Amino acid sequence: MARTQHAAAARTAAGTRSLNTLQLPPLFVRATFTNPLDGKQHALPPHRWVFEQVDPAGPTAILPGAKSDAEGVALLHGDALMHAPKTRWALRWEPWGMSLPASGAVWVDLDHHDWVDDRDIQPLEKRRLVRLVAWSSVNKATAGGFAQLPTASFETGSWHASETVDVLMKHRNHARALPVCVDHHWHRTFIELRYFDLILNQHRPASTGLVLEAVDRTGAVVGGGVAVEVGGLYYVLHQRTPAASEDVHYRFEAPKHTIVDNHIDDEPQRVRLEPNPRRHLHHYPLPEQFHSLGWDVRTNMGREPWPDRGGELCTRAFGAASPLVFDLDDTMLVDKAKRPLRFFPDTQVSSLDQLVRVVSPDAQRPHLTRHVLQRNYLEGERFIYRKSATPFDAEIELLPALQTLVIAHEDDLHLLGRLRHEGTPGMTRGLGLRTCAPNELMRAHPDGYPPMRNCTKGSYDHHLVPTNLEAFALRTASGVKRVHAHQLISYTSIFIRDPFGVAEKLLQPAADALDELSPRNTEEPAAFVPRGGVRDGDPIAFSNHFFGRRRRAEPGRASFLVVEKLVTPGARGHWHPSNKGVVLLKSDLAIRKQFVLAHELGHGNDLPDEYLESVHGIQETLPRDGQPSEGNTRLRPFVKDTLCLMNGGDWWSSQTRLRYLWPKAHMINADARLSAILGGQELVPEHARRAGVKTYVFPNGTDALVHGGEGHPWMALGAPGMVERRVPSGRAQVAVFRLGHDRSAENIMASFGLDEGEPFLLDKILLNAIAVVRLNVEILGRSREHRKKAGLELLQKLGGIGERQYLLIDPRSEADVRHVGVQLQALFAIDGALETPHARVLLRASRGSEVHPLTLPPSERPELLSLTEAEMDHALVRHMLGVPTMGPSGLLRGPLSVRELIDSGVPGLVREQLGDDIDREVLGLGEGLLWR
Amino acid sequence: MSRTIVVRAGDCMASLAKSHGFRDWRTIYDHPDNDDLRGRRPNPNHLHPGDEVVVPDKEQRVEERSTGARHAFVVRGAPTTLRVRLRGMHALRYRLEVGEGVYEGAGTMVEHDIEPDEEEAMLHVWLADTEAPTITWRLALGQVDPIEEDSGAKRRLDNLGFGTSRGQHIDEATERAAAAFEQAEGAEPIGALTDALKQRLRRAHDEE
Repeated sequence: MARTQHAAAARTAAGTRSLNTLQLPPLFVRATFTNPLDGKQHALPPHRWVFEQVDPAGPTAILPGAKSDAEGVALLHGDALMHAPKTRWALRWEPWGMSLPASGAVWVDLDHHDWVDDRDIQPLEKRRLVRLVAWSSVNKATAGGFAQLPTASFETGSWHASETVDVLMKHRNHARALPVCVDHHWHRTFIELRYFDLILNQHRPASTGLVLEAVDRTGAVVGGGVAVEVGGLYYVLHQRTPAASEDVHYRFEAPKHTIVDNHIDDEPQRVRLEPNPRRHLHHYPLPEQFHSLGWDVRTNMGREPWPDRGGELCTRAFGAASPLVFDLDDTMLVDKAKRPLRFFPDTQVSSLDQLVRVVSPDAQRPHLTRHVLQRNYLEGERFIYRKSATPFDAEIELLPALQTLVIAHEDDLHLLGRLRHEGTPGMTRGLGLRTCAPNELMRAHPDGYPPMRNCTKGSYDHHLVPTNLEAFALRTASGVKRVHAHQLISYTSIFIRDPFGVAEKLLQPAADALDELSPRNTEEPAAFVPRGGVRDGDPIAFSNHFFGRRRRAEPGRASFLVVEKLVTPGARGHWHPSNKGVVLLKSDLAIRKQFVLAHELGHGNDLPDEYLESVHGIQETLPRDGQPSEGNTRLRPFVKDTLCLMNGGDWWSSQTRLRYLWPKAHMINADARLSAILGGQELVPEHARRAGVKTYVFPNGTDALVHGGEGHPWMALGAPGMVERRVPSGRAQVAVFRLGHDRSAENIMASFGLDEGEPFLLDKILLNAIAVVRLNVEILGRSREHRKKAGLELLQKLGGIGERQYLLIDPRSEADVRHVGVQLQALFAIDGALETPHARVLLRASRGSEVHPLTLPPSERPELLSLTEAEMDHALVRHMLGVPTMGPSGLLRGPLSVRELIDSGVPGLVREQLGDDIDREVLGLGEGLLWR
Repeated sequence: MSRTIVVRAGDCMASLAKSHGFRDWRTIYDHPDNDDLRGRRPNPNHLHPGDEVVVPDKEQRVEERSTGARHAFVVRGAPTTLRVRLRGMHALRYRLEVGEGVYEGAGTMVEHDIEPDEEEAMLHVWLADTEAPTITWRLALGQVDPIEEDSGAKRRLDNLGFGTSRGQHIDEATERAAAAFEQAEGAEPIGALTDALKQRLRRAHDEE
């Protein structure tokens, strides 16, 4: 090919030294990038092109060109290419006036048409930027290519001199500049990160601020972007072609205390740092890490799981009009290998009140959820019930903090439990899952085990449990000997043991009765709402709307299930094979279910049974349920404490024990980071003259009381080592105890919270925003003189109650067990004047500092209880866990209003008495405590 | 009697001397009547079309020698050279064709004597070991105007690879070429044929 150039030359006359210089034309390149704001090509900010030697034997030769002009045209000479014609050269660009980081990434500030160094990207980046990578032609030859380059050899760096000259001749001036779109053919993705705004009750984008990264299967960054639109639309430019992006994932990291400020409607940049955790309330704290592995994503095709092994979804184009949408408050369960656990498609899942830690795949960051766990989270269809316990034990075991998870799938109830210690999956089919909060609590115990230290048994630990009520319990063909009601509050685990030969028909009446209970449809999807935010290491609280299930009328329908145990007087708490007819089912649910409820509420607070007999001795293959009485326990003091609530084998077993409070105290201590106990200060109730509820406020800064006794775990309550122990979790800060009434119609309920003169807000406690403890104690029921006296004596003796220590005690009960040497650290007073001859129901509503006790005549109590017990209990547990509650009519977001409560079935009397206060919030549901 | 001629494109002092029968270009250039020309065109190789040159009459010269002996007279020669520097290139070989002459060599410098009135030369350059030359320059000899003239700047821009337009006029292409040259030189691109630009061009093009 002839390449002839015209030139002028001067003759050099003799005696002169005129010189003519001939030079090849430079290469003109017009560089552009795709501006996501308008989708058009815009001139690249000031830059230059360089020829860079490929695979040099010696030092890399770099031949820089000139700075580009305002139109993005830059030139560089290809002279040196001809100097070393056998050397391979790559063509690449680089920003002007900036050294490229190793990543080669540089950002374009779209508003200022200037560069931003990749190393200057802020953790929360509010600028509108586009990430570009200054890849050379050789790099791009393998990952995208400059399609605009004139010859293929430019991409491989193998061009020869003649070819170079051709190119130079072709693009030898400004008008003929070689157009190069530096992100040509690269994958572009618009992404929206959303969260659910609890205030507006709608999805909202987490607007500008985050820096998204696209990573490949090895974790290498292959793209990135930030939000480029006010609405929070993120533009991620990849450095690969769509076809090469099959393994792409997205991730971001947000600094601690990054929130989405959903109070600012007009503020486009809602993602911001809020170091003051008090102000996290009502905002959505962003996870510190996000990774799309296992995530669901919304596309214009619907909701799809983001593929973890590549796929079409990764390579599909998502424009600004139909972006990928990740819901940041989705939940994902993963195993240790960080694989998402899956359900089969369309699985309807509900979770009961549990604390479940859900972690993102690549971090230890929990995430919240508000979605129905419809699919793709746990693997296997009915895997629990199918006794696929062994493999799933293994899997669940891989979930480091998944304590329990209760799932209602279609007609079946599935309970997952985690093997806490070594055990043989499938051998110990123990039931009686504990709520996660207490489990966590136990795990955090300095002694490594729960409040009842002496009761420690391996079988106490939870296992993957095939608890399907229908199949496992109610359909037990061999007959029913004993039914234990467990966990009635937060979940139902009923198992049937068959050591006594009692006919199955004994169960029948109870089963029939179950159908008469108020149904609660669990087929509504559960909704999980982030509330108060989470922090690193926080367990996640799931609310539930499930209390059991109806068996007969609607087998697939969940309902409130109460199974009551009635022990003959002769048994007196000795459930033993030798006690013939010890256990019967009692279908008269209206009479004594309070015992059951109180007992189960105890379970809900992680109190184990304290039965005297050894379950282990009854039948090897039956669940032991972590009975602390396994083995030879007769010498243990608490199993002789037959009146205690958790013994449960006695008519009188309605009394709380101080030891029961240990887990809660520990929880409070640990989570609230308590460090002091009140000493020597008189506890004065607030509003002393007001009838009804008394509130005791514990001042700050009080000295710790150190008490304790040898060998009694509950005595560790005041031990500094425990009190000062801190754990990262920050949930239940309130202890809620409700005692069933006994024959004397004594009824005690108490709750504890932290208060600052405001209505109780669990979130505030979580955030340590409250320094003052408020103890609310209600004593309902007729007093007994000695009981009152004992309490007062103790109170006087101890002089007060420790700050942020919460103790509830029935003095009489403790008096009964004084032989174990209980030393009380604290006690609250009993206002004898309030004690009434009959149990009463109090409903307290509050707004601000006003408290309105509502007294219902005893005659109204049964109705109230029968209608609202489940709700109440659930609300209490929920309150304890600090999570929203699924009420009968849907999700109870935040505080449960009285109206909602009434709508849920509280008798009209409540409505009448509340009057204008009907819309006030009921204490106990986020804003206070609910009393009954 | 001396006469005045007007320089045409392609003229230089050496070519004018030859065409008017002078062996030495200095006979014309150094003539007192050309004092003004020398002031404006200090480089006799770069004349601008339109320049006026006074060509003196040929003077009869008398040399006295004795008879009966052999005397040698040496005509003082005034050879003309073509000097071309290949910038940014290293010619594996080149071939220069000027008139009847063909010269070959290698490297980055081409320098050969030529007849002063040659108007065109072909310079073939091989940058790679190929049969055909990598690039060929058709050289218009004597067409490099003085740098002081815009046309001189244009020609130099062309030679340096910053293509302008044909003709003498200054147009957008010329300005863009000037700006590109300034870019390449690391200067702020202005795009005008200023004195500063011309000095840059002179240094880049004319100076070794």
